[in-house]
Amino acid sequence: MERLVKQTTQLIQYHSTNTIPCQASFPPLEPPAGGPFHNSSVKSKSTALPPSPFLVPAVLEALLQSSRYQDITEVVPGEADLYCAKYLSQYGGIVLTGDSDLLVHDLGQDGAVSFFKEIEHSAISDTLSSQIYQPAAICQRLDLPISHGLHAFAFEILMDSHATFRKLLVDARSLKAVTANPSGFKLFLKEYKQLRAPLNSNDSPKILPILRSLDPRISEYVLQYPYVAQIAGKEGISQVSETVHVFLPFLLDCPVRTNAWEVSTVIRQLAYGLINLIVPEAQQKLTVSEHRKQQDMSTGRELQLPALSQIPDACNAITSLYFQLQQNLPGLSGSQVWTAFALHQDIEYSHSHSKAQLSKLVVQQLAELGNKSNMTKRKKGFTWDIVQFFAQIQGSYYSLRILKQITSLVIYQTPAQSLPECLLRLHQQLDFLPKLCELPRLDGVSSIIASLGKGALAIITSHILGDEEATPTPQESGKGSKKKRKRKGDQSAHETSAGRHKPSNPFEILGDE
Amino acid sequence: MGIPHLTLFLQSYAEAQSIAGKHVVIDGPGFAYHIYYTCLSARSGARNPFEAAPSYEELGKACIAWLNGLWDKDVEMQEFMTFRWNIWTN
Repeated sequence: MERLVKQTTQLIQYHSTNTIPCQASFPPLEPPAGGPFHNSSVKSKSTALPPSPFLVPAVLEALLQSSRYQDITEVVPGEADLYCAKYLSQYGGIVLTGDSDLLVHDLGQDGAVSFFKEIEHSAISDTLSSQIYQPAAICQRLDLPISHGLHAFAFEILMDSHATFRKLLVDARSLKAVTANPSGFKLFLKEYKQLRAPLNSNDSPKILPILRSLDPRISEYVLQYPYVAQIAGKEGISQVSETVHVFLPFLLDCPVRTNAWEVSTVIRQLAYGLINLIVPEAQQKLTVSEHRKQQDMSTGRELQLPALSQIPDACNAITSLYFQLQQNLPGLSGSQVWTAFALHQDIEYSHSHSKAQLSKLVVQQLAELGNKSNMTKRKKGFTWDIVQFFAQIQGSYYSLRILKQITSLVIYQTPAQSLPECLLRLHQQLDFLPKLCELPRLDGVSSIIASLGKGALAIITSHILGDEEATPTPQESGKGSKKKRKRKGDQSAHETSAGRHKPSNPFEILGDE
Repeated sequence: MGIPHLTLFLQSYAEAQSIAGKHVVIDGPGFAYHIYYTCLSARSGARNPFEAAPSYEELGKACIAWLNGLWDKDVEMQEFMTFRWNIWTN
């Protein structure tokens, strides 16, 4: 949560000091100097913004695609530190980490820690070496009480962060802070309490491999349901909490515009709601609290989930839109149809909110950038509109990825005959969703629209306009042609009340198709 | 959260050793960030964070190259690489 607030501040600051977010042409890539174990410092201007939003899922994706590393890659159902520590205390070995906290965990007699940045390759001997920290041996050398070990030393640091090493050591040996502040020490120890759950469960239900390969943020969401947590072997989740939280990756968008996750909200609502198909009724939820950008420690934005009876219609809406885009834009690959789908979400959103169509604006701005006669220095820069567009498309892709992963989970956990057929169809279509490694960088933003061929934007737009002109269906006749206007009202109320407003039917957008 | 200066204090008690043939467990999120910053540092010509950020494809390749570096030196990567699960609890 604190990280989210910090990242939000960072983005707002960057936006306020950079009217042009970056130049349109990026310097060419340089091959990494000195091989993979060469460490050099990072310039502060490279870290003026939060890291790429899908950094961890992209690394996970690369590992799971590698035949060499996929079998040793696992998303654990809890804090990584605890699992690493438990493993080392059972089997010994070294944990490679960037986090000094692991030094304080109980790693057993033979467990050791090494930091990524300290691993070095010696060209002379062609060996890899590193500084190895073995906490049990260090405790002995420091003559710390066996009963408290490095806990006592770490707690002294926390209580007096300006003291010298010598003073901290003397105090730790006599358990000074531990004795003076027993309740504080008890609280401190909680974070380092050894994991009770076994590392590997004996029974392997069919969905376990799926649970172990979900993106961490998605895993965090589904493991809040005791039914799923139990299958995954997560301890301490006996009942579903009153509020279920989702922390979305931090999109680098334009902070004065509507959050870039907004246009794809309806996809995530369906994704979150699918979990109700597999959990017992008592654990089913009607809402989740979603955290995107936020400037304070608020409880997030409440999103309504579809009722079980609405799920087939919502799935059908996506599959039929996918099918229609495929028909209207012949020749596109399955993956490109999802790009068209993401663009459709942007255009539909602009249209239903009576806003200027962002993709159209971006096409004009990119065309101006491509026009060499306009190449004054100022005009060579990307605009925040382009950054926003790029973030929205990324948000749409990732919302579909959440849908894909939760759909897989549901399908593997339920007999096929008891699932709505449209969910199986959706699952098949989502198989074509671009992988994260296929997404362009910001400098490739023009390829997003260009990949769909000439006129794609106009075709998608007319598809949306055509829908609006269509006669309302009998059950919607009460709303009639004012449907779009009403939707706009719903959404803006949603934003101003930080999500406390519950739309009457959040699936109206999908219901159009 | 990390204990301030802990690594610095304990540095002189660490031992430089070859990690060839050793059994290791890798902290997944830490690994992802390490590779990300390695990619950033390789972009000496970047003028801002957008230019410095690697593509996801490049990031994935850098991860595999790094792990292959361990593999080539017979470092035995154990059963799992863990990815941090960091839900907000309140």
